[in-house]
Amino acid sequence: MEVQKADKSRENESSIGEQRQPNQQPTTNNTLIHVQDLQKVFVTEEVETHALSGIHLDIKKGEYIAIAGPSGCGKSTLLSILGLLDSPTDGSYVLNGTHAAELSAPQRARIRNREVGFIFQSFNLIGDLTVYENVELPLTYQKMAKAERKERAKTALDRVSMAHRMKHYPAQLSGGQQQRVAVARAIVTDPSILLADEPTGNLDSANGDIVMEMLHELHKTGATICMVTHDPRYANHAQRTVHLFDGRIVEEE
Amino acid sequence: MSTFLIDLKYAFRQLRKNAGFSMVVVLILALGIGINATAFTFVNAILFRPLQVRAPEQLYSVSIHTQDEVFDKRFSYPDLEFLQSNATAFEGVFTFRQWPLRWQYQPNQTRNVQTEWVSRDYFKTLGVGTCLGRSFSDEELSVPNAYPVAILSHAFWNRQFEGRPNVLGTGMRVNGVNYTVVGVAEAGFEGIRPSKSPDLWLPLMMYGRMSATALTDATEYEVVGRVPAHASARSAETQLSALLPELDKNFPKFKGKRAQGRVKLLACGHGSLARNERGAAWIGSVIFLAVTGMVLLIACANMANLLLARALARRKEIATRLALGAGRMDLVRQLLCESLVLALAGGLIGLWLTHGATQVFTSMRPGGVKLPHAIGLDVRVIAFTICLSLFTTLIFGLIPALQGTRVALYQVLKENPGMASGQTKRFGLRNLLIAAQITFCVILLTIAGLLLRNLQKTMSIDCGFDTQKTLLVRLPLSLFKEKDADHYSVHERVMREIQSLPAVEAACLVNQSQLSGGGMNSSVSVPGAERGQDALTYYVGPDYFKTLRISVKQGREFSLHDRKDQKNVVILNETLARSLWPQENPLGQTLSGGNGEFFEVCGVVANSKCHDIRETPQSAVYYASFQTGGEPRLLIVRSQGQPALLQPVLEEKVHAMDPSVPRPHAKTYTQQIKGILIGERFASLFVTLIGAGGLLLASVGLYGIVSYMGRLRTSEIGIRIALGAQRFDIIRLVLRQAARIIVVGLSVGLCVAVPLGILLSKITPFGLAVFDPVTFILVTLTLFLTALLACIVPALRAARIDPMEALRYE
Repeated sequence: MEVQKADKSRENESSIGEQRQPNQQPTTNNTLIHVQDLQKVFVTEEVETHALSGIHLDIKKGEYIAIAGPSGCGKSTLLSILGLLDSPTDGSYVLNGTHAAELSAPQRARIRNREVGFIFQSFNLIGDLTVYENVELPLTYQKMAKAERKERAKTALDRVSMAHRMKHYPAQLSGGQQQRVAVARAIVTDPSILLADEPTGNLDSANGDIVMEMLHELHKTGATICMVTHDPRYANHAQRTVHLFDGRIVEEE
Repeated sequence: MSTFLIDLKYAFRQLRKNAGFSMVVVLILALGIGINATAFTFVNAILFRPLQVRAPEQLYSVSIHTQDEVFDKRFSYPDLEFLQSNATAFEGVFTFRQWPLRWQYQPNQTRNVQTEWVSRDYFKTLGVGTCLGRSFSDEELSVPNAYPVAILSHAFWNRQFEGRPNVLGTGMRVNGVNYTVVGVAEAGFEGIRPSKSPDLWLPLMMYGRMSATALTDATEYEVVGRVPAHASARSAETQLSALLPELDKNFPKFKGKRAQGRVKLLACGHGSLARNERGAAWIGSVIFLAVTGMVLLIACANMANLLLARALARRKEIATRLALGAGRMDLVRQLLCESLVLALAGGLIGLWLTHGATQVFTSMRPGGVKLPHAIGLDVRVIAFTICLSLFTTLIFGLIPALQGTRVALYQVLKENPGMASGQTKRFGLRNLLIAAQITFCVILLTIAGLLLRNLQKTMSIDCGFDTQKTLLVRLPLSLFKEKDADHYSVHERVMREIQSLPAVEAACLVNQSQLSGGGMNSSVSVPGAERGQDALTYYVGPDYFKTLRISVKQGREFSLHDRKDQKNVVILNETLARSLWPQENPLGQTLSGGNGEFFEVCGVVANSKCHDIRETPQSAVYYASFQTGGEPRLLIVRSQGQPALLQPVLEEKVHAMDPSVPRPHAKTYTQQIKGILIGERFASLFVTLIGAGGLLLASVGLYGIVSYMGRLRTSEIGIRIALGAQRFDIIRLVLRQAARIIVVGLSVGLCVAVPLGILLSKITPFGLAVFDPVTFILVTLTLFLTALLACIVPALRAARIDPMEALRYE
């Protein structure tokens, strides 16, 4: 599977959205993500669970990083914080020069929409929408004109070779096809970073390989990728692998 | 706009893809909205709908307010003529009177009709014309007793004459006087009081042919005027007030009181009731709409619960959208858009149901109540329905939308299908909504219970006479119009015929009887006393008290000998006798009647109900119908056995006395009393039905939530069973959780129902008991048992869970 090169250049890589946010800091040395002493504690009925304890992590633009570790080590929690789906209990997280802690809920939604592309283990396509509408969905939240939405959604589907299925519903596709559509949806907004959470977890090995190849191609065209996986085979695709254990980074390779 | 269209597109797709769910939601909403829109249709017709006349907003009813009194509907005919000549503040002024009268077209076509007697300028001021023939001429409306002409209402023309154009010139008799049809009013015009829409309009100048009272003597006219479009009612009031001193000279009866007053104009171009009926109508309407509104709230709570469940089922979709960058408000808007589509669909079907319901009601005329023909859909009803739909969107759509978009994003995105997480709060809200439904049910059922108990108590009130075996039937008027017929001979003839029937124990003829809508107040006095006393007055024939089994306490009742050539005699009830002669024996005493004649008291009878079954003992005087004139047309018959067996025979016998008139309808006194209590009976039935509907909705909602609770706790129940729990333990576990919701709803409902009962007892005319423990206990038990019944099936289902399957699912 060859991923076609994106025809849009990343001219505005350092900005968040179309305009610089008031709490945005100028980035230095090409760092896209800067995480310092990150903590996440879940409190349930007087029991505290330390999911993340003092995480320090930098991800550079164009980097392909894998986060690995056993179940319950905090991989997904870290990814959800990086994707602004959750907030840390303590520590700082700077995405593309913006302090996440200072963002309001609508600003977080806006950054998720424009800066982050998600690929989930269970695809999370919306069953009531067609393939095309699923891919178009993030663009509708940008209030983009219909014609442009159409063009970009079609381009994204072309890149994952799913344009011929755009009128189908997710239930009419195989798992591998669904994940390719999910990849198209993740890249359609041309995000600063792709966050993939066990993208091959629900796929057989053949389809898993196809998806990994696709991510590899995307990386080659300049995409920054952060992938969570517990499979060492797939972790090897990344330039750098960070190993987590009990909420701490225990090894980087 | 484009975003809204996308939301709308998705909303329709959701409707289509979940057709079953959508249909249930739409139907329940349609029912809730339809009931409320139907209720509003009646309120609209009674209070708001403009009359079908030119510029109804310019019509005002005149009243004079002094420091001590309000003079409305108390104008004389000379007052009207004075205003017609001098009140330049009005474009036109008129008056009218309404009476139900006997109408005869062919010898075999006789019926009661509503007549409206109108003054000069009536049609001109209202701006109403005729669709056939002509209106009354000024001369016809100015010369007394000269022009017996009539105009038919469009509905009456269609009903009685099948819309035939040759009706013009046709003769007809109204209370024995010949009239000629000169026109048919234009369609839709129902007079100025559509609640009593006239069948015929007649010139007020013909009043003298029907009544012994001279037209100019009456002081019960309501005056209505039209204020010009460019003038204000306030300036018209000032101009009219300046005319009062001169106006008052026309009618010295009021002793100059009105000259000191001030004219007030009240808009009367809308609604169907007279001014004095509007206050009670407003209270009734508010209660009516509040009761139906509660059903809508129950429906909304039910819908909110369904949508919450749906939002939970869609939480992954919602989380995905949020992850992709949708703002929470984007999703709230989208979910609200879906609710709006459902509500508008419900509103549309509700409107259709309303249209059907009003047509059924107007054709049925429940309880003989004459409803305005104009009841139906109009702009106000449609606007009300749209507002209801938007209101329901907010009520049942907003809560699930806000709740459904509050998700733990990554947790939901990671979870497996079928697993529910983070529902604790939503679960609480769902419980709350069910508890709210039960609360509304308690309120509705308590009101219904109080009304029913009140009705039951009222029906069992001792009237002071036997209502069980007595039948009432009206005799044909022709009996009294026959040549040489006097009341005595009619009485003899009728009694001979009736006594020949088997199973007749006693019978009598009267002018009016108690609790039959008749009876009027007149003044009686002891000769020489300074002041008289008002008493309800009845003209009855021999055997009246025997027939009704009213106990004669002293003396005797009237006999065949109490005729005009004999001494005038009178019978009093105990209250009046005690009031007139507290220390003396009333028998043989002389009494002065309202007309100045003297009567000897020949008997005293026990008190009995006269006007109203709930009244306290009233003073009543009974005159012998043979001595006082009038036509004793009401026949009262006591049956030896079941009155239902005698009823058809009696009707046949009376019909045989004059076969040219329609067969009369005999009814028992019990039916008569039921008719008097039509308002209470209708209200009780209506609220009971609404309460039962609410209970059904709440039970369905409870069933749904208990089933849902069972599903949520599948794994927990599986573990409990694996650990040795018995089926009964599981049933108890599920029921205990449901019982908590029921108890909360019941407690809050009872806390609201008690003060509401007190409030209703004060503002309704039904005399509700303030606190009736039986009602509260019955409502509590009914609701609790029904609600528990709704929980049994899901509880049993939960107890049948296979632990292996449940744990595998986990």
